[in-house]
Amino acid sequence: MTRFLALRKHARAPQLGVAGETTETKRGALSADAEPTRSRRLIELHDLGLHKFKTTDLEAGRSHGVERLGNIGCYIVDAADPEQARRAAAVLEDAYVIVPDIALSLPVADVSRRRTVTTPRRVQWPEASGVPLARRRGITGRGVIVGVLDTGCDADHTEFARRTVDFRYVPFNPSPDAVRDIRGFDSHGHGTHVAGIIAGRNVGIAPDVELMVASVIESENVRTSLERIVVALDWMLERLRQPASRDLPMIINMSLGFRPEWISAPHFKNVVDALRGLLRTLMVDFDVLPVVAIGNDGPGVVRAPALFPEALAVGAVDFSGAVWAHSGGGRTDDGAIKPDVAGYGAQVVSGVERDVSGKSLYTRMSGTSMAAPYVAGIAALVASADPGLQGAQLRSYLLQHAFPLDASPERVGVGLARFV
Amino acid sequence: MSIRRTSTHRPPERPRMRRYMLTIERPPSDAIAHLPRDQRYDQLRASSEHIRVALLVWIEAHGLIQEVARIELATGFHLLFMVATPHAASELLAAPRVISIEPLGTLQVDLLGYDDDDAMLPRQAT
Repeated sequence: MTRFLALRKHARAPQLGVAGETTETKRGALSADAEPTRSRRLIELHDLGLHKFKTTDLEAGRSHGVERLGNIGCYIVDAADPEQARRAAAVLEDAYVIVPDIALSLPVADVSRRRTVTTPRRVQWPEASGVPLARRRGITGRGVIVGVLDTGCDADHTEFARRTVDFRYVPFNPSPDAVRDIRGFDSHGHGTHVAGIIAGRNVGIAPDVELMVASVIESENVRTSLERIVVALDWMLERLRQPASRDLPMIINMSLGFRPEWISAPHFKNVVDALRGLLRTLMVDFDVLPVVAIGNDGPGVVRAPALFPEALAVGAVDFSGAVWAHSGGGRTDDGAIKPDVAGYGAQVVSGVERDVSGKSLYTRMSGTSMAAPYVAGIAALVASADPGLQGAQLRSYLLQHAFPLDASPERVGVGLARFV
Repeated sequence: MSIRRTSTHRPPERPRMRRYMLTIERPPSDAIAHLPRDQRYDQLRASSEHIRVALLVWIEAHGLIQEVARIELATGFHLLFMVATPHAASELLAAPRVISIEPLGTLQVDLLGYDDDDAMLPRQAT
């Protein structure tokens, strides 16, 4: 355990409902539980080397620190190692309940971003991708469903003008009937960028696919839940019940990854198995191809769900075909080489959420998040040209027809995915 | 004349409930492979819903009705989600066609793309 929450033990909330108690009394009870601004415990934590977390720490390569939320009687501790975590817990445990949270991260202010409002002319994907060839043949992804699990999608962005973005917001703790059927939005930009690479009018690889986007990740804290993922995937599968969609090829893009330490935690084994079971159901029972980013942790690290054999795991290369430095890859526990294939994932231009005046914005982004939708777009072109290629067959076709790259398979798999 | 009484009675503490994921049995892939995709989905969802209803009956028969707030509707996957006490969750492990039960929390994911103007910094600490 290197990360944990410490919650104050003697919260007085149960007493607040006593008849006759005034609002002021209630406030007094709460403030009595709050510690002075500079508490003894905070000083002791500082002495252990745990200081208030700052964005500059991240820039300097440090990710540990402490955050005190005095008003709610809570500390968030992110220790450098288990020993520091143990000593920090010892400082707090007499008055606080220690709640391990291996998935916890400290809040960090977003870094300011520059955007361009210039609408790019139609992006010319390199000849090696086969996209220009597909265009010349009039293949644009028609008749293929592509699902995206991400932060959302700004459906009114220029890239998605005059088309329908089938969108659902999947809330935390959702039930299948609580999914909200609303106009596509994205307060983060990541999902819009990903969807744009697949299906954008100017920047997209396959602009005529039927696009389904499920917003399953909170933009503020980049959190989701397994339940949200299940409900979102179920919504996408329900589409196959419609007679017009029943036999269409379906591809689902996941430009997200769970942390390796989370996946290896023994008490999450059933959750990990469930996650793998979802991908297996998609691939085996429904011939749906899950395309998943490998992760940006550099060589030797493979994130989940990319590490599962049912996923088409994607690494990133730049437009010259060289490995993007942060792209992950390696061997999984069962000896399989991941990623399976590579996609363009460096300095990729696509849309992000519109500004306050409604202007459609664009930016360049890099990461396996961008390489995965590139491959999803290529897969859509292939399936559009031959709708009989679905699921495992589509996967095999992409692997057999990849463009070989001069790099280790543990970084690029069999090579660059392309339309031929 | 009215008399104000101050009661010292407190309602009994409700058991703490949390969300759980139940992994349940499902039809083998081979058994539905011959069906068109829409019917495969219907079969899988119907199987999960059937187990859900059977679980509700089992919960009532075993006196756990006060400890299970709800079991969400079934999906096409062999997973059910419920809100229950830890005691009820452990008891449900013995229910027919339940394979495992796991408490659920939120999951930290990392979005795997960065603005190039952000000097390759992730948006959240990792």
